[in-house]
Amino acid sequence: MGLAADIVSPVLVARAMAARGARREAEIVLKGALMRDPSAADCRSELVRWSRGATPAASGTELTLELVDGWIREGMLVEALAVLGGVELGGPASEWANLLGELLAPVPAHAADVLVEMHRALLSGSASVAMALLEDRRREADLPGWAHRRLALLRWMLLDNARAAVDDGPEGEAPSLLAAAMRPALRSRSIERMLEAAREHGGPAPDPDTRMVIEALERLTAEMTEQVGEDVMTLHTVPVHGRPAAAMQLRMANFRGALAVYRKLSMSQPGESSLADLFAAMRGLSRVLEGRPFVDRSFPPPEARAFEEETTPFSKQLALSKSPMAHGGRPGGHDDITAAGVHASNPFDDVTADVGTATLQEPYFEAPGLTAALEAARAAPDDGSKGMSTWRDDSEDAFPSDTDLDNEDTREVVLSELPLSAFSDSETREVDLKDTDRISLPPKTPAEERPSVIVASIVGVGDE
Amino acid sequence: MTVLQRPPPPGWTVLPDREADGRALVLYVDVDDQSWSTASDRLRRAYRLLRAENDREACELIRSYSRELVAVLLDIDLPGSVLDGILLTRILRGRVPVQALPPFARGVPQLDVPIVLVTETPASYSEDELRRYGGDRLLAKPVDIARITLALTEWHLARS
Repeated sequence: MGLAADIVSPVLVARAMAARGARREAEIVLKGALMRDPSAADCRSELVRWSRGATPAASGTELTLELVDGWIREGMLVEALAVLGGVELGGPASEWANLLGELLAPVPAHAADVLVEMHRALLSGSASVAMALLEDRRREADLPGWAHRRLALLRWMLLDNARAAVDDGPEGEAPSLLAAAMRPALRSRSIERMLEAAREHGGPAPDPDTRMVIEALERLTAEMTEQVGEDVMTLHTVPVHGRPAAAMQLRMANFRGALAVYRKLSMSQPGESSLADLFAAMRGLSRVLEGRPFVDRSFPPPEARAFEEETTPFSKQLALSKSPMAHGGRPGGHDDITAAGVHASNPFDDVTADVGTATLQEPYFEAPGLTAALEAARAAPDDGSKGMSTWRDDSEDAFPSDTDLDNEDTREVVLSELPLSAFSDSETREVDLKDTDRISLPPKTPAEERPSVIVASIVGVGDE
Repeated sequence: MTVLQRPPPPGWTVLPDREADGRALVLYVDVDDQSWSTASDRLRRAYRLLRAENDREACELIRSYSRELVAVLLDIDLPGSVLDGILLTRILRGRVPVQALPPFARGVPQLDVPIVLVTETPASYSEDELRRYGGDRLLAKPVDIARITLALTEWHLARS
């Protein structure tokens, strides 16, 4: 079972819904995804495009009950309800819609604060937190009838339904032997069992990936135990924020939620190395479950370069992205602090599967020369005429302008225009920005001439 | 399809046995008994409904329950009433001068809750226009719990 198998990008689903005439509900899908994770730049970008009148791009995503089922089990309740409310799926869809409608209905005007918080948690994708809040409240005081019903619904959706789903789900083929070894434990939603399985798989001399998975699971298990103990249902106070909330997501086996919280925490507290470690552990684990290496070795951070050049084939691509921000990248920001590459198919990523380039979307781990060149480009006057008109580094305005989005011009790009100080030649390529957003250069044979990472983004190329 | 073999959710077998169990209160303004009956059956799982049959009753109930309401559902067409759903919406948003109000509508508090307009002929209205009057969503009758909750959820998301 791959966790990602059930999860489809909200952007792709929203596009498919819009194509079927459910534009309003499609927007709710995107808004719900943003409420769940405000760092979901792809959803924000899509909403901005739509609000500017852009026609939603085509999407081949099939809207099915299985898709909705996967979202419900991940706590994406608003998005699930929007799909059910927007398109006719048949079967039990209307029943599910009614159940979600009841679950997400506003609480009474004078409801206790904890119940208001419960509703907020439901809307923000923290269904397991909402369930824990209700359980906690039930131990302290009588729940009103409506809240009892919601607790029962939540338990069914998140526990009974999820267990049944993994029990009767398709077997499929595990992406790797390690992932296959952890699959039964993953089905039972137990990190402790996943750790046991990884240790057993690795034996006395585990390979590097298995060793890193074991270390990651040990780190996560320790954090989980430290923050929320053995059983979240016995908590007297329910964690809603911070590390305890992330640990509770781990305990509830909501890996996606845990990763999102750790990402936010590590971004908001960059000096806290333990948070970076937890985020790295969670991210590496997600990669392994997808059958990929624990660490993305294609784009090593500078300090690891010496080791990586000995062991890893080096990418020789030059990626030209018309707008990294439109693809979910965020210039000036970096939400991936462990591996430079952003893989579009990672189930724990917020990046949609159809984003333009999966190579690298940010200059964070670039060669020093690139950084210097970017500074120079940023300082240059923006006359909208030639070359890199802007490299916007304003995280408050993480979206391209209309000009950026609409520019489909084709022109010759001279490498000297680009911030590629690591290159010594002056090759010229004809780049049709309509048809592609990347080109490849022939490899440079001498290893010492190879730049570490070369990615250049053209934002708002002006008219000739 | 595997999803059909799941354990039955509690909502399918356990119906609310008490009307006054603290559910969120919603005002439904509609003349038509059949529409009211259908809406009541569909929404009572999650909402406690107050019904007003005309503009006067609506104003009275809003005066009495304004602090408890979480949403208002207004039929656009209210035959027999001075005010239709659109005018009532404008009044509830404070967009009608007091001197222009009929006496029974004076003193009705402004509401900061979602107002959902319902009609049997949604194609006859522009949702954008209704939004300018203060409405939040236009839905076709008969309403159901999913679409009502989705409309209210959208309102909450916009406020968050």
